[in-house]
Amino acid sequence: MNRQSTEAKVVFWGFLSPTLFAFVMIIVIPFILGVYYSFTEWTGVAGASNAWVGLQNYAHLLREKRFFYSFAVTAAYSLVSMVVINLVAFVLALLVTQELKGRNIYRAGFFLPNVIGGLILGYIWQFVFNSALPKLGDLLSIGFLRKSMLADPRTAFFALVFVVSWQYAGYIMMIYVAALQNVPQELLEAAAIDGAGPWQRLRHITLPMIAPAFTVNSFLTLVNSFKQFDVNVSLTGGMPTTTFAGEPVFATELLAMNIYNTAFAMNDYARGQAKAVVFFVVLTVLSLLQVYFNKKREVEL
Amino acid sequence: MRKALVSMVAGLMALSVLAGCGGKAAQDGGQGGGDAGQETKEIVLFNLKVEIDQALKNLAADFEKEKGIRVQVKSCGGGCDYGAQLRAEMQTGREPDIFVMEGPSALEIWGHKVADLSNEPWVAHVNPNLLGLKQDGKIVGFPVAIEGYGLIYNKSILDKVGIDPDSIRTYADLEAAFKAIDARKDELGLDAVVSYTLKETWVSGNHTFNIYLAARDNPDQFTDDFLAGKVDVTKDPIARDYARLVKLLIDYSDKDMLESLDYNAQVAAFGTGKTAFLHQGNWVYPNLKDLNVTFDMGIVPLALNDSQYASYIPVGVPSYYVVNKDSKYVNEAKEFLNYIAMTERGHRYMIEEAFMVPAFKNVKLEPKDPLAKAIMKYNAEGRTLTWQFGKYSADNFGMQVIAPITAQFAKDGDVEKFLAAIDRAAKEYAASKGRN
Repeated sequence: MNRQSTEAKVVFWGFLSPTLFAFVMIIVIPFILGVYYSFTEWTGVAGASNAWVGLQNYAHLLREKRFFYSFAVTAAYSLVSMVVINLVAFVLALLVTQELKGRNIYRAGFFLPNVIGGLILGYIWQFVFNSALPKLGDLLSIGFLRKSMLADPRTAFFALVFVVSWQYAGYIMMIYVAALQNVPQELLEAAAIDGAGPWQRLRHITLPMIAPAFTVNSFLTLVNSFKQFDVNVSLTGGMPTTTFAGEPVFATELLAMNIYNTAFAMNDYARGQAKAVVFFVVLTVLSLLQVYFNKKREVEL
Repeated sequence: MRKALVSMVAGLMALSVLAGCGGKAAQDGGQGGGDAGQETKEIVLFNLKVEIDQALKNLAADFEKEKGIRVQVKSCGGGCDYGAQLRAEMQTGREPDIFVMEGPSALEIWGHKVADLSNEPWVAHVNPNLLGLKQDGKIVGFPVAIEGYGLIYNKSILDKVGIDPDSIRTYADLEAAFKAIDARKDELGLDAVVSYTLKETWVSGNHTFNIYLAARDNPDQFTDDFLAGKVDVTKDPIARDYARLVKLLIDYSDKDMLESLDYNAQVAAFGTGKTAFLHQGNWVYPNLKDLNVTFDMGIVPLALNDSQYASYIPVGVPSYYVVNKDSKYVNEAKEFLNYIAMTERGHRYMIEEAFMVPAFKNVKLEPKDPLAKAIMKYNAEGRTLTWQFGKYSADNFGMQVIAPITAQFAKDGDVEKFLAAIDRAAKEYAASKGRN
């Protein structure tokens, strides 16, 4: 008995330690260091002064309109893309679980954009928005196409949502597909025999049965949208500019990019780090709340 | 028994993973130590300008053939933020041996890394004012090239409208030329008079804004004061002239595209004859060559008023190579720089392959590039302004702060608000610098 539990411990720690080591080295320590730096005036260079300044960096955030704007636009962006991605993904999932010819090809096709890296994808779509569509607008004399969507703050926002949805919906679709395939056929058949139409079956059987997938997917999309960086940088780079509370700001500069710019472009590592800490707290709270509420809706079979 | 075996295997696996890490670390340490005897010496050059990537690689190949030292060229692409990328490169464990500094402000960040180049043979061949990168009185920067910018013009369009580019010396001249071309826009097949962009924030935030800082007496003092928050921009008459110039550029460019036109598209519009002017510098020449441009061209100044400075163009050293003094191959890195400046092959590289205007007086080759020629002419006549934006480019004050203010001005055209915003931005910048 005793010998076995020692063995179990060896196995346990034997398997755990490499991962734990990596986790501590690349997540835990940088996180703690990061929180520490947010209370200093460090500029991100080894050897530079990192004197303690207390809450000064956080106090500065409260006065920074550009940061507030980024927060607001990120919140709006996350909400919109969460809804759009899930809607699109769910509809696609419903489609590719029907008895269609070549549905596996469709599945692969919808999934494919997710395989392309976000940076490359952003540059490709930038070309589409800036060059291809205006050219098309010229040829077909369609006025609104002539102006690049990326040149106007409002349309640039939706261009970003569109590209990210296009990239991400296929991935989310796969999770819905898995969930849809796990809905027991007996239930659907029984409902059909009882006279429920397709809409009623979807509403009263399929949807409650796949609620866990909704929880997972809305969590994934919300968190990923909040952390959006690569497509943001390559597609719009924060452009165009707009006015917020009387100050010029980059209209599509999401939070992650704002933090990056503060820390690495403007050499204000400590303030960037302070923003990152705020970002972390908000993201954690949001995610927990959201999982809590969605869990309540799920049904047990 | 079986359990014991399983746990043994598991333990071994875990150990081997850990050992793997440890072994690698030890190996890296060994490499850092300097048993370089057998391996080829390799220096890493972290290049800023993607346009010269290929030419630089060709030069590096010849250098390796001659000296047996490999030069690995890493380039930072078009929209790339060099400062941020350099920081990443420095963290990779293989720091670049030669890297680029865009101006003195980079010394605040990387000053502890630079090697003294004062005693290098090429120093004697450079005008002292182009050796601006100094630390404690020692020369630490190798001028990669001199560059100049302004409004590049399409000679054939100007000829058709009957404008002599050499006559454009004041704001009034420039405005008249813009108006004359604009009046015949459709007939000439132009989309707009000038290719200007607010999307490339370095164009508006660094290059255009430099005109405000430099087109005056004592630009160095003024810029220092400005960045220290000691200038009242709203009361500066030159600031008003500057606002007028920016407005002119915006009014005569393709307004729908101002915030979406990237560098390539901006140059392409000019290169394909869709605009008469291009707000860029001589570095666009390789791009224009790729577009098979046939028309002749030159550069007119970004004239903001009728002072003598309005007829000058900013010429400077956009970037210096510095040698990483912590490198294992400091001497090899210095040798490569000498190879560029002191050999015929290096001169050929600068003039014929990279289309750069060399800062070195020992270069006898003549450039075929009309833009390089134009810069050399301005330089020879002494009609040059200094580049002041190097003083703030490492903090991206121009790109992150001035550029969006300029874009806001493009939308509302409110001069008072524009000047007030610049004034506030400078004071905030000064405050944040004072903090550090």
